[in-house]
Amino acid sequence: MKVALSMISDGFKEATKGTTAYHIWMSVLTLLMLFGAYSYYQQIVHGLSATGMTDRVSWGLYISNFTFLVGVAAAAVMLVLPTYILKDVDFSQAVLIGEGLAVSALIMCLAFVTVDMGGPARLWHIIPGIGSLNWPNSMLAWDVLVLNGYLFINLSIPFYLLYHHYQGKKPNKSVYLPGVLISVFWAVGIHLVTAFLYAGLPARPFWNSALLGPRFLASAFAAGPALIILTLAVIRKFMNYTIPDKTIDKIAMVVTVAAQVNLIMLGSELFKEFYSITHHSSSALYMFFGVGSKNALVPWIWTSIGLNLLATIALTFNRFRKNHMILYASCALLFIAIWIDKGMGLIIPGFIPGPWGDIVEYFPTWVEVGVTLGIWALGAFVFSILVKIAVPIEMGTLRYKK
Amino acid sequence: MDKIKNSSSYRHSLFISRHSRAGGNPLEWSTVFGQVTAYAGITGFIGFVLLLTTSCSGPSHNDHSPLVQIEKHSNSNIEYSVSSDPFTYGIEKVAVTNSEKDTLFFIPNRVNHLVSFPCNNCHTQALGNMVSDDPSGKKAHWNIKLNHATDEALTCLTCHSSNDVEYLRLNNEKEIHFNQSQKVCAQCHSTQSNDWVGGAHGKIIGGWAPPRVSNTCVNCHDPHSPAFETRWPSRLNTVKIQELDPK
Amino acid sequence: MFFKKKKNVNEETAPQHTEKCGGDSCGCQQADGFDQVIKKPLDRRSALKGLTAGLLAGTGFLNSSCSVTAGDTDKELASLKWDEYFKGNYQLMTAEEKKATVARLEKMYALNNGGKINISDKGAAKDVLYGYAFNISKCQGYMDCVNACVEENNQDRDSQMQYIRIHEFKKGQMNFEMADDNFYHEVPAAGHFYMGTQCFHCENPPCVDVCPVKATWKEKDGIVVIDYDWCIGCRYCQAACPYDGRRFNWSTPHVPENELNKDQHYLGNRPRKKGVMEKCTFCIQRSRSGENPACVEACPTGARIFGNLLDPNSTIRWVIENKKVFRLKEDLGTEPKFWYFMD
Ligand code: SF4
Ligand code: SF4
Repeated sequence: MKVALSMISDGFKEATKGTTAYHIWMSVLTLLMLFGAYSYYQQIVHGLSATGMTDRVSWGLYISNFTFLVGVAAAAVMLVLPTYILKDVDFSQAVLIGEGLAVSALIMCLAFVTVDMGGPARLWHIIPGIGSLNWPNSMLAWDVLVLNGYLFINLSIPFYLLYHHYQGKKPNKSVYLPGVLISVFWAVGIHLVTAFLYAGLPARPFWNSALLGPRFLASAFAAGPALIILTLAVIRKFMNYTIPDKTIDKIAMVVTVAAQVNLIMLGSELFKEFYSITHHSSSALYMFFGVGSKNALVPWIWTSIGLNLLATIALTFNRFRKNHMILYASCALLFIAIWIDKGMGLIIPGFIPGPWGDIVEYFPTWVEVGVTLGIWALGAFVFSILVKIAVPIEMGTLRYKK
Repeated sequence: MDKIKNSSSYRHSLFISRHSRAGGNPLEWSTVFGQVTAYAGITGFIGFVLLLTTSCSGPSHNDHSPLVQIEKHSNSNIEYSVSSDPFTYGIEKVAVTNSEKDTLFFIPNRVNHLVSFPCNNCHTQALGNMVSDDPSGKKAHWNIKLNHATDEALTCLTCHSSNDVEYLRLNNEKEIHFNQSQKVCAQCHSTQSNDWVGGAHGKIIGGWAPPRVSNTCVNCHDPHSPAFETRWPSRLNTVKIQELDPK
Repeated sequence: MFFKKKKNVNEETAPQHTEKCGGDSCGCQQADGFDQVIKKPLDRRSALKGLTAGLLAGTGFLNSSCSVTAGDTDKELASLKWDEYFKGNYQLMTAEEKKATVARLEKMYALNNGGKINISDKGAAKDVLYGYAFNISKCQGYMDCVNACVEENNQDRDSQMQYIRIHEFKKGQMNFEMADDNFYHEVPAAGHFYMGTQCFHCENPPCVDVCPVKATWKEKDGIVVIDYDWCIGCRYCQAACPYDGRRFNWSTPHVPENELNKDQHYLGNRPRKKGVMEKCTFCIQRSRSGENPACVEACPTGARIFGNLLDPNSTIRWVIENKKVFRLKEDLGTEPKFWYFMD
């Protein structure tokens, strides 16, 4: 107990001190969070009518980001698996960063779901026992369970490890190893469950596809590790924490394969939608080409496809991938491409056209954008703190002083 | 070598590195892997079975078909605790009967609503005596223009009795009371009449619960001009216009 | 909290508190034989209630809302609101609990608006399964049903919420994508036909399966209802409905006091709050007492037929058995209880 308290206070000290760059970074994030909070206040006062959502397009930016971030959270931890398969790599640092990323992404996920609720004050209705969770019928109930479970796992394992390293002790493998493995399977689970959330709705033919789950996984495996590469690059640059090139190269390999698989799946989806255009292709038609004067998604999706292709091609060639500048750029492009793809390209066209064929477009309002920025800032904030505390412990500079 | 590898913390590094595996650790990763997979598999399977058995949307949709519900639970002697009576209160009802004189349902009394009934308030002669071919002659009901089928098919005397102004007539010259006017219509419109008796045509007033009270033909159709007229819809949703066409 | 913004009482996000908070004035939480099952959750809910009260007290919230300066009415309102906030899911309530919540809601309306509303909690009758049929040949696109529905069901006037959509089709196809559901010209337009949609009260409703909190369910008489006080506003059901049957309160709904229909049902047309789902309930407040839904009553053409599917003598049964009927998107297995037919 005393150790835990000391760890928390040491962590707090560690998190509050730092270079000017760190302080500027954290202040900017705080400002963004404040802006987000103000936007959310507006939304609370006026109701969800402050957003661009309507009865026709009833999920928007929030759920898009939620979906994307579940992928990030899942992929961050799935990196553990290659640690076994590619026996010669040491991913331990990446994995720690990954778990931190997973925690921050999950916090963002839960925040996005919460701000999307019409009655956040009634959220306690979802707590089993007190409320009435509709398990196992509702995929959202599954999602609530698996996401919270995942959050728990990903908080407890790093805490356990750091707690031991903090005291200079060796963590007990038989305690954390099963946890790590469960977390890997759980990661696949959270993303599949999230995909099933949409794929299980015959009302929306655009989502009602068996490929949705696998595609979620592939794109997550590309976007999540891409983000890890970027963060590792930043950590390498700004912190006194050496990360071997090999680690980054191996993760880059994972990203590349996932991006390629994702492209193949995208191709087969496009084929199915456009080779024989049926009534069920309307959403894809709207998204890729627009219908009449309604074409809000067209620039987004083509940007996404362009970036995706560019990044995947760059990553495919060893020569480019080995060049770290190109690698980072590709990772950034890929990340953006998949973010668009999971957001603008997946959630929104699911509602367009509506069940009776009306094409009502969706444009997020500044309130929505503000809240979204705020939540991303929150995630970055949490992540920065986690890394700021974990790295010194790992390096041995932060130790329990008896 | 990079310094992480040399640092002591690396030795007991947080995750399973090859070092820890190589050293004949009793807890082989593959065993753990196997166990966890087994657990995950079993849990997943149980979850799936649970889902199938407890979920309302099992593989068969048949139980949910309203037709199956009807087959299973249809009951011709339902004791209703509700009735349509409160909702037809004040409407004087006339029974519609079948050929065996069983009451099928009710229609609103018609003659109570005819403004100039009985006809002998004004007319003392039989209708047959009043008909004239003279176009310059005065018309008693100048406001009525017959707009029902063609004038070759229908004249006043097709439906109104020529012997007694208070009655309508059927093709077999039988006289029919105004409260039974549907019988006149049914002579030509037998399909509609069947649908009406069954309940597919015409409007049921009051409630769905028995006793059934239906509008009769002339409650909705002016017999002299039975077609529905075009008119403006009762509303327009301006919000929807904005939604559909934001410009 | 449902009707108007009031002077001292906050939005529903901040339940208020009075001296009565800890206890339960209505005695509605005594578990009786009917529901031993829910005894536990209820107890836990009471615990939550107490806990929250404690927390609020700790933060000084108690002081501000229970201050001596607050009027009696405000105190009573706050207390009612408090009990309302912590009540359970209507679907799982005992008969007494249902009565209690209805009484509270009526009381709150009286305190807020001075008038009286009647909220019914009438349950489903035995041997009744509601069904609906729509005659495409008859509908002329007059939209009288839409008006009647809005008035009957107290739908938000500001956003012009409507449960019913009337689609205008060009003859020669029945393609909804080509149909117009917001026409405004003389009807029926030459060469066009009309068709109405609303919630079809599916026998196998996907919207019910997906709701994470069981806030929406199918009643024994087949009506798919929503507990407006239990819905958390996630809109998953809206995404799951293949028929565009559901409507969401994006902002606080507003019905002018003189237009408010005061004959209400808990699961039907009682006023909603912002951030909850609503939809057609076959006018549960009317149908459960034997009356026809407002749309059926308003339709001047008799295109709408409503009745009990389990009664072989009902008109709806005659239609199903004697006309060539079809339902929309039957391939989805939702089994709507809403049939279309032609003369
Ligand atoms: S029509 Fe839609 S809202 Fe109504 S029961 Fe069916 S799925 Fe649910
Ligand atoms: S919006 Fe309400 S009724 Fe619909 S799924 Fe969510 S909680 Fe359930």
